[in-house]
This record gives sequence, structure tokens and C-alpha cells, in this order.
Amino acid sequence: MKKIILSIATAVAICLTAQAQTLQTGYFVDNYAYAYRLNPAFCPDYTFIGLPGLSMDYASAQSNFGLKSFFYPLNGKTVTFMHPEIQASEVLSGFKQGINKLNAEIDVNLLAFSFKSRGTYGLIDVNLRNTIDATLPYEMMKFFKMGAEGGQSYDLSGFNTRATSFLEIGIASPWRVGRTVTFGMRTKALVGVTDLYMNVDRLNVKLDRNQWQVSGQACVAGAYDGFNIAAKPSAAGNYEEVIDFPNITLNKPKGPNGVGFGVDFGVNIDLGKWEISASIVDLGCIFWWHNLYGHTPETSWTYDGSEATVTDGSDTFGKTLENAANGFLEMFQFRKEYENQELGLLPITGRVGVKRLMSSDLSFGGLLTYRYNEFCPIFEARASADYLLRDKFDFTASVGVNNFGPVFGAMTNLRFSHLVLFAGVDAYAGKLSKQFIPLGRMNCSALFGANLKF
Amino acid sequence: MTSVTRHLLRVCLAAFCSVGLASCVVDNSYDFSEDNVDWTVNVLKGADLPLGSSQRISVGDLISSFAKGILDVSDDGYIVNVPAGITVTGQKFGFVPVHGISKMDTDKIRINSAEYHLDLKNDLPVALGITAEAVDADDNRVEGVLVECSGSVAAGTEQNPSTTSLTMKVTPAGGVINFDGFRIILTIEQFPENGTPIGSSRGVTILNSYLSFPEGITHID
Repeated sequence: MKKIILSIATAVAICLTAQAQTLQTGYFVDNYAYAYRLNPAFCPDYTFIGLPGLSMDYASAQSNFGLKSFFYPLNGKTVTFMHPEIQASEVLSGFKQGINKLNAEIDVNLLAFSFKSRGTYGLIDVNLRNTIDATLPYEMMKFFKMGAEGGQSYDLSGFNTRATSFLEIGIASPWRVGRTVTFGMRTKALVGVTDLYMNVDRLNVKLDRNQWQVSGQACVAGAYDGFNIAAKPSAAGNYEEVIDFPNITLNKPKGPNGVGFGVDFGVNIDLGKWEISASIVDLGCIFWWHNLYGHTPETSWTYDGSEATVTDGSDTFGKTLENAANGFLEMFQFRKEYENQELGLLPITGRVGVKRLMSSDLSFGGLLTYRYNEFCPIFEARASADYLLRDKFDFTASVGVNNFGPVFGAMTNLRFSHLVLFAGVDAYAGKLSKQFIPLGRMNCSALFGANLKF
Repeated sequence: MTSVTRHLLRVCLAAFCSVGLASCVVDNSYDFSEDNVDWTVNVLKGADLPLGSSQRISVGDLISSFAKGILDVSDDGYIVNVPAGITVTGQKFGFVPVHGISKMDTDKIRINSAEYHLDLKNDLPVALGITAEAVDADDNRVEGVLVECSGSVAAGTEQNPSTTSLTMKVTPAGGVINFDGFRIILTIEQFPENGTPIGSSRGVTILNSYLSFPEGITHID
């Protein structure tokens, strides 16, 4: 169990988030091969083919909290926030009042190439996109750390988490209209790999000396045909079958778990010294086939100790705690429902950019971005400066702010005779653990890639 | 753009990138290797755990532990009849309302202090003093566990029982649980006169009991 918790925490911390599917700083980088992912009206003046596994790897994360909100150094060890020697005030200062948010994404390009045919430029790519979103109520952290010291009643509603993975098979093409305007469009077929989520819509806890009461409602769903869903009779007798999570087994998947479609639109207007551009990306959805679905009933659990057998003084305390724990867990019995289908929207992202060419090798730009996400919408304003060295080497720096705080990034795009290399960050990770895991509030992303150029 | 400006811009961009990358410093005090993470947690701090149902100690239970022959049986129960030369005050009766503590994984659990709260409702015409001690699974007294509990329960009547609230504070040495329960000891402080009837249904009832953990329960990794 400890390994699972640490692995999940590490994976979430490592996942650096994509506000876009590639660096925002890359929006104004000249001849950046993957700029079409930000605006399909953009394309390089060369054709390329991606090196498998290295063509474009991107990861980013944004959150109100970091790994160091949950773990602390103490006497040479790393301890959790629930360690008795860690002060509650220190723990709670690491979280925002209200709802804390996390958004993380890893994009891996599996295949990419571009071609020119009869004056038309086309790009084809296959990407594996993975996202994690989570919301964490402040009250939940306060409850776990302070217990009943923080009060007798807690509203722990609002804990949600979702992990999604899908394949994106896209084809993009820009086309010029007249001398100044370029339109672009990218269509993509989506193949769902897996979708898992848990929503706790309502969870209220009341603890007092006469009675403990917990009431809530939650649902869980998963789309992965490799699940072997185990069920058991409800011990509480509320209904026939509940999901037996510890006995769910995983098999190899037999096929996709969802299908979908998406489209990106973009435009770029070249006015000589000025360029104005706009795009809408990830207009689309995936139709998921959830083979795991369950929800808790709208009931409450009450414990007043009356189940403890206090007669001859045998096993009372152990039985009391056991009854309390079992009763509490019984409350979160997810009734096994029939399979269901659900439509999941992609995180629609809109951008508007302005670029000013100062000279043949220097330009400045401004970019506004809004990304819609069910749990974690992101708005960002960013300014950048791009310097082109000898028509082959781009160096771009950017600064900005989003709803998670200030951001600054840098990117380099190196175009050799037959090789294109690029690397960059959209914000810096700050302090890292010994294992190079970002520790602080996350508002960072990183990218690197290598492609053959023709 | 002049060449000076170009050079300046290159330096600024290089410095920007360098400073940013240099800001990603490694803090070795955060080591997530498996053998360095300590999963010790503290829970239930300040929480009161209800213990629920009441426990009844009848007059028969009490008196059977005290000196024999101090009650005569009557149609309705008992009549006090203490023989000359017998001293009833100071006699003790012990019972163990909370047991099975050592059924927890005591190698992993630390409890710095716990408080057992209870109300004693007494409808016997007997005034009682109260103390407590920690016991093992065989109900033998365990040393090294500080049990602070003192008080007295006034005599009561069937129509008007006395109720006394008590708190018993248990502090195991070093938080180590080496006991299995605790015994409440009732000591007779005042006994009614000879000829006083006591119905067989009368006795002492424990009500509204709950456990609280001022410093929580620590599960050691």
C-alpha cells in the first residue's frame, strides 16, 4: 500500500502539465516543427520525420500544492504530513483554502512526419496523450492532520480525480489564402486507451462523544476492458452487489475502450512587421465505454458504540475499533451498476497571439491562452522574445502569469542540415528531490525532441 | 539592430536560460527511496470514540465480592444485616469495563495518553469511592502505567439515583501499550444501617462512556 501511495504521488509530481500539447514558449519559435499542435496554421519550411520515441516528448504539471505539502524531512528521514512531529500549521500552510487543484499531462509522440505535395504541406502524427486531474478540498487535509482538534464537523465534499489516456491520430494542413492569410486545420481520430475517475460529490463527517456520523455520495467509473470486475454481496444488506476493489484483477486489454474525434482550427495573418494569429485546439470528444461503474447510495453511517459488547469486559476495545472501522468502510460500498457509456470532452484550448518583427533576427510576441478543463481551467498571458542566429538556431525566452502563478520559459530550436533538435521549459521546476522530482507547487513543463530534416 | 545590441541580447537570453536552469536545485533532504520514507502517522487526535451501551453492576455482583453475610435475602431482594465485628466500609469491588487493548498491534501502536470518560449512575444506598488500575489479559495489575482516577459516587435511591461524571486518564510509560485493560475499583465509603431494604434490581450503571485520545494514536512504521 505504501509503495502504491508513493508511486502515485511520484508519478503525479513527475507528470508535468500541458496547458497545450507542447510548450507555450514554442508558439513564436521560428520553424518549430510541432508548432502546428498549438496553431495548425503554423508549419516549418522543411519536411521532417520524427525519430521514434524521441520526436517530441512533453510533460507538464500545475497545482496549488506540491510533493513537499505531503512529505517533510525529519531527522534524516522523509516523513508524511501525518507524522506527529510535523506541526499542523506548517502542513496547512501548504494548501489553499477551498479546493486545491492538480492538472498533469504527458504527451509522447509515437510517429510524426510531414510532406509537401503539389504546393500543399501536410503533417501526420500519432501521439499518446495522458492526463491526470484532481481536486482536493482543504477541509480534507485539515481533517487528516488535525483530526477532531480542528472541529467536530467537516465538509469533505469536492474530492475528484480523473486519469485519461488516449491515442491521437492526426493529419494537419495549412493553406494560404492570398498573400497574408494562412488557415490551418488538423483533424484527428481518437482511440481511448483508458479512463478512470472517482467523484466524491458529498462527504460530511461529524464526530462527537455520543455519535460519529458520516454521510456522503460518491461514484467511480473506469473504461478498461482488461478489468476483471469482482463483486460481492453487500454486508450492510443495502443492495445486491458491491464492487470488491481489492479483488479486481487486470488482464491485457483486448481493444480500445473508447472512440472519438477532434479538430483544431487556426489562422495566421502576416502583415509584414506584424503577425496576428488565433487558434482553437482540441474541439472534440471521446465516447468512453465504462465497464466499471458504481456509486454509493445516499445514506449515512452512524456509530454510537452500541455494537461494542460491554458485558464481561472481554475484547471490548478491539471490537469497538474494529466495528467502527468496518462500519465506516461499509459506507463506501459502491453498488455495482451495469456498464455505461459516457461522453468525455477534450480540454478545449483557445489562443490569440501577436508577433512583432523587430529585425530579421529578433521578434517579440504576446500570447493569451485559455484552456477549459472540467476540474482545472487555466488562463495564461505570456510575452516572449525570439532571437534567430544565422537563420538556423532559435533562442526564445518568455515570461507570463497564469492562475497558478508566474511562469517563465525558454526554448531552443536547432536546425542542422539533416537534424532538428529542440528543448525547452515553460516554467522551471524549482526545488527537486534527491530523485529529481519537483517538490513545490507545480507550474512547470518541459519538452525535448529530435527529428530528421529533409 | 546594432551588433552591440545583438550581443547584449544573446547574453541576456543565455543568462535567462542559465538562471532558470540553475534554479532547479536538488534538495537531498527529500529522499524518496523506499528505505528512507517513514510512514509513521498520527490519527484520531482529539477525537472521542463512543463506547456506547451501558453496563450494569447489580447489587448482587457488588455484595458477592464483599464480605459475605452482610445481606439477608428477602422477598424483594435483600435486607442489610451486618453482623457485629464486620467492617463493611473499605471493602472493594473491581470490574474491567474496557479490555482487549493489547489485541492491537502493540509493536506498531503508540498511545501517549488516553482518557476514559464515564457517568456512574448509582441507585444503591451505598456511597462509593473510585480508583482505577491497569491490568493485563489475566486481570493482574500492570505497573508502569499511570492511571489517574479519583472521585466518589454518592449514595442514591431508586427514585433519585446519583450520577457522577468521571474521567480516568491513562498514561502508559513511553506510549508503549503493555496492558490489556483497566480495572475500576469501587470502595464502600458508607453503608446503610441494618434493616435497610435493597431491591435485587438496584445497582450501579455505567453510561455515556467514551474514549478520547488527546495526542491521538500513532501508528509506527
